[in-house]
Amino acid sequence: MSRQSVAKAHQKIQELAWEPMYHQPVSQYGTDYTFRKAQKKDPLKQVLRSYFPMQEEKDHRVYGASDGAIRGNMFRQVQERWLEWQKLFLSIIPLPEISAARAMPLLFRNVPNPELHNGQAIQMIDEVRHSTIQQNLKRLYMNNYIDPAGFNSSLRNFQNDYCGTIGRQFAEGFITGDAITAASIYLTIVAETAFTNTLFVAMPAEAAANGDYLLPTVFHSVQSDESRHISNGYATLLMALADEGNHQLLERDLRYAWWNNHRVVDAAIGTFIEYGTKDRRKDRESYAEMWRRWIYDDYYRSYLVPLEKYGLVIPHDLIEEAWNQIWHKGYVHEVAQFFATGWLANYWRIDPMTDKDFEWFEYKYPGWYDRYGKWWEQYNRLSTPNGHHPIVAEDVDYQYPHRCWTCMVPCLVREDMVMAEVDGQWRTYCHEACRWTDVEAFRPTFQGRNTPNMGQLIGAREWETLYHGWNWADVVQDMGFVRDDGKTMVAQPHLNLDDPKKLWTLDHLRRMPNLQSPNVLLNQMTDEERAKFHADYIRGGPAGRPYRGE
Amino acid sequence: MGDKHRVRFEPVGIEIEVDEEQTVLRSASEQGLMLMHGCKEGQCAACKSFVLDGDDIELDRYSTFALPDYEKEEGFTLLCRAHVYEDVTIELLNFDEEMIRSGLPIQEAVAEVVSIDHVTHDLRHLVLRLIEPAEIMFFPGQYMDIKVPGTDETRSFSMANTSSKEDGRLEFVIKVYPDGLFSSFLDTTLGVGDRLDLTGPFGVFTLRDAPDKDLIFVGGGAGLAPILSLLRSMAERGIERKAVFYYGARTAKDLCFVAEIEALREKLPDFQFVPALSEPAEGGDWAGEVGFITDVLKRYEVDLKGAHAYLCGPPPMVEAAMPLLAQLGTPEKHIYYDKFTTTGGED
Amino acid sequence: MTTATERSVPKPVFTDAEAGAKEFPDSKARRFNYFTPQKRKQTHYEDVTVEVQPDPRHYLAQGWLYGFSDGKGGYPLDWTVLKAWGSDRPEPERGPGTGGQGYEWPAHGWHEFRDPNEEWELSLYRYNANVVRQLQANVDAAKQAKSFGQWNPNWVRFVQQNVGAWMHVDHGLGLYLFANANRRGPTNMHNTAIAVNSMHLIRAAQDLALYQLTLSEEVEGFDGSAHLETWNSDPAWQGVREIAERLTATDDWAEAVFAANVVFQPLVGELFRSQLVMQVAPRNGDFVTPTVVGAEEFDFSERDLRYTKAIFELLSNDREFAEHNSRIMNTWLADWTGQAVAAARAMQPLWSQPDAKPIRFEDALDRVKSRFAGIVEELSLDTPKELER
Repeated sequence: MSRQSVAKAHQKIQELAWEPMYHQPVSQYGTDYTFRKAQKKDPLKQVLRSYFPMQEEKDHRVYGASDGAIRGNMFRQVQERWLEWQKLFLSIIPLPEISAARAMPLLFRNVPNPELHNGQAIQMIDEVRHSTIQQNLKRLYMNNYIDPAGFNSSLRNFQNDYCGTIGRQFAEGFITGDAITAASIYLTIVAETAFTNTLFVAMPAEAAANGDYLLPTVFHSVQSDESRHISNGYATLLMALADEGNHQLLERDLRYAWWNNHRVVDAAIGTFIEYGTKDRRKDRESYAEMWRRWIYDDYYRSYLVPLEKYGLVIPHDLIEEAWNQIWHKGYVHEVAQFFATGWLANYWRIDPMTDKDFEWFEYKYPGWYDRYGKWWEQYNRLSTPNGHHPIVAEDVDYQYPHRCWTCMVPCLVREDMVMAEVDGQWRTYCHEACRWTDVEAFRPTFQGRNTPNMGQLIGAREWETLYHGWNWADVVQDMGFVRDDGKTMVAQPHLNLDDPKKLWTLDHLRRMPNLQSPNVLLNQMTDEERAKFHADYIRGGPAGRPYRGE
Repeated sequence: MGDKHRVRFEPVGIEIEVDEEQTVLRSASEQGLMLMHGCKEGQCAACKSFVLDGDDIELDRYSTFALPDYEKEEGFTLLCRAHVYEDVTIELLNFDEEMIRSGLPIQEAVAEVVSIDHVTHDLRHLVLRLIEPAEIMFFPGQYMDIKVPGTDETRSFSMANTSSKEDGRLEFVIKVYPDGLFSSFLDTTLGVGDRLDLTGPFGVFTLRDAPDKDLIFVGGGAGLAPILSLLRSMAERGIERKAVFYYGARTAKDLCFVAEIEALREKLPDFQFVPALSEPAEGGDWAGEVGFITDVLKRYEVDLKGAHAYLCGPPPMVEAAMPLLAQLGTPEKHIYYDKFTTTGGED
Repeated sequence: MTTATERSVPKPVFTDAEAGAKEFPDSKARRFNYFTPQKRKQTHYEDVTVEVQPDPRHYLAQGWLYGFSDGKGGYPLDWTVLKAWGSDRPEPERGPGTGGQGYEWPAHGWHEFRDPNEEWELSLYRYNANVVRQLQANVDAAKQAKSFGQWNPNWVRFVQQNVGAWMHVDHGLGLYLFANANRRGPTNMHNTAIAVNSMHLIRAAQDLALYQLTLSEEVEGFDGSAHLETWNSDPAWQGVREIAERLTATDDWAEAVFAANVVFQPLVGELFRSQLVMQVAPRNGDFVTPTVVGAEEFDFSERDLRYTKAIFELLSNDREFAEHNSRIMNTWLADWTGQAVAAARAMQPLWSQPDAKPIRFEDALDRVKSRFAGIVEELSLDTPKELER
């Protein structure tokens, strides 16, 4: 089809829309935003007659590359350190993708512009593509990588493990609550436009550096669909901005979405990229460097800031604070350290850091060794069973953290922890912005304005609560993270598969002290104890060091 | 720095200069153009565009999922990866017309007077040359605020030319009023070589992209300037939409630029020029239309449902034209005018 | 002598991280172990779809994390009144020391549904890319053979008005019924099948619209906008329009899918497409329109109807709620069939518009009624008496 006719074709399909005369389509999702009917054009003209063949062509390339990887014995060169983290990443990501598909109908009745609905329907099916193509990649890893454990139980793991839960809010944030908050601001404006850049641009490069060239193929093919989604978000945002009554809600939602994405995505992707790689060339960009370039310079300064003159209130303070967390407060390092502390509750193996890794971290993040080096040396020392417990139950100068009720990542930057009694329960938050999200944003009124359509934070948001008082062996068995001999754990704090004696089993865990829920304990304290606990907690850190008095 | 080349963006008609060493996207963003983009790494395809003219373009490394070979051969390109080595014209596929224009930086500038010509008894053709900066990007149809020296007052005037690329040139058509602040200054004080302070560009009186819509221009007096700019720009860009310019004046001596407008028909095959006089001189040799320009328009047009209309001129003319156009079917949102130009002359 | 500076690139390393390189617990456990396949061996389709959408009744230990303003999160089972076995069991309560175990997989009967078309991205794009390519080849061939020139004026009018009007049905149902319902089903298998159905319809709508565009360019006097007036005010189409709008106004996702694919499509869609357009077009010298309309017919009869039957057969034979479901589905049948037959009857004037006539309207209607009755029987439901109106 000639290019000229694309515009004509796109124009013609606009004739398909009609105003109902007899019955209004069902309206199932509410929003507190208001939209005026506007003829905002669908900025990216996509007609299915060219869309389907284009996607099929991409598929040919992806599946051809998969065949090639198998034929070329790619897995003889793949770094296990890297692929183990894919057990986490690929357990999470298909749900956010499919949830994005599910989110599209939230916009139909709320954004009165039929021309945009076409773009949303195409985004819907793009997301179905992404979800299943990623499941397929995981299946391929399971079939061809040395250790299928964790891949083979992927979706069960994802759904009952606390890391999965952290990732899952990313998905559920798209599909529930105020329709515009969820499907437009959180999903397309922030998650897709800002954060998928690091996801889908940085991850493939790192995968390739670690001998995995399948992930780059799949994720580049996924990313080439993002342009449509970015356009969808932009068009809706401009429509929302046109009504001044929305500006307050936009401000609220940008704050929430920005901060939550930072907490969740930077935790996960930052860890994969910094701690999941064997590539320690000094000129390799660190996650902080990439973040600065893509998220700060590009998304913040060239996408958001120009919208300021249209009345968009940009959370400048939180954007600076996110950078502060990544650069000065070691957010990614704190998260990686926590994942490694809790390795036994997970479903992948975490490789200890070596001198070469130490050198790189110190070069990229001056002061890293003083903060984290000692702890990682301990991790290495405790990685194979030798009469001791897993690191979480050993004295390595690390205080097991409290969970953030909102983002569900623990309160790792100790000094920022905030505590509040909310809905009859004492909760901890990793940062004031997360407290604000729970206490002020996700409520039926906001700054005196009724927001009856705003969503709620629900669920058993502290994972440890479920296992309060349990023996660790029972915890791991309950979650199902056990290999087919019935006792060897899926997770291991090292990569050595040669010697069965080096693999941790449930038996090693039986001897450990029982698991305690920090939140249950917090709620059992007297007010005085709690105040003291808080005062001490925020004097702890970095690297989880407990406060030991003056 | 490498050599620079012109990049013209269609259908918005914006032109920028791009250094060979910079990508088109980067260069556009430095010059205040809001182009749609995503990853800037050649992977997401949000900036995919079509090369209408020119082919000496090199791309930095990109994903073939974002730009497969067959699309590249057809002429598609990724602006975030593209370096140009000759002048090119690029069609944007993914843009928001309002937003892209909003990106033009509003600048303070100093310019000096090149010439002041009397084109009618009360219209002056003022030509300026920018000193600092040497160039200001604006869209045909936009205006600048010019400061009246020695006061804090500014007056708004539309450019009659299409770009300041050549020599920093800005052209205006200004009506002088007997006691107007700027008028008296223009006629009595201002001379070639004098400097003026300007701010801009402003305004939304710009040509909207709608290839299948006919165009109606209605103008008179100093309102000629932005319409002239739009017409000149159409001629430069080869926009062959069906267009009629209804140019109203009181007498033959109130008309100007008529020869140039007539000549535009050579470049714009579907362009019709209808000048009309409301008070032709008795016994004069005026062979054209007679009457208020709105009455003339009413005689000529029956159905303007599919048209876009651009109005600029004295307030009574604009006020009369709006309901008439609406009555003839022009959708209200497609009647374009700049508010300042309808506030009339000077206080 | 100069020393070349070494290029900074990551170096490949031999890791031998290939399957089978070592033996250890789980080293041969190479299948997804969190669901029971429908047959002995799990299919590729199952691997990429099953359990992607979680369920708090089995693995989702911490429950849904975000709720609507009423506190409901995720995919509430009561978004339809139909029930699958286990639907009434309460969600496991979570609190201090409860652990994370829910019911055993599958916690309820909804998880037993598998799309017999096994649709996922690979199949979806292959199928639809083939359809659009084939259609374009057909239309291009007809253009080159100048076959549109042979249409008589009545047939031109028929196509511009009636075939043109039908695309509104496809578009409306595709977006506001099916795409909308992809948020509402209880499992990923339901919602993926429904999303695929929506793409069939949206594609079919665009196929027809672009076909109209071609005809406007190729056929002298073809009025490309005539479909609007037909759809907006032709009495023969208002019954179709009203039922199409009512379908998009149906809150219960299962009722909407059921009414569209079990009642509306067989009684009205197939009547118009198979019994009218595809029959009468060749007699009026038109060999192209049947291929365009036929592509859509194939989508429905070979794919969309098939997954729909699989969904509702399971429910009408459910081990716990067969009677409950059948009773409700029979009510739906009674409710929707009457309106569908009325809409079909209102279209009768179309049968007399072309010069060369199709089979009699009553005969055509009888054919679709008997096909409809067959579908109802396969679902173990009762043929509604409203069919005889």
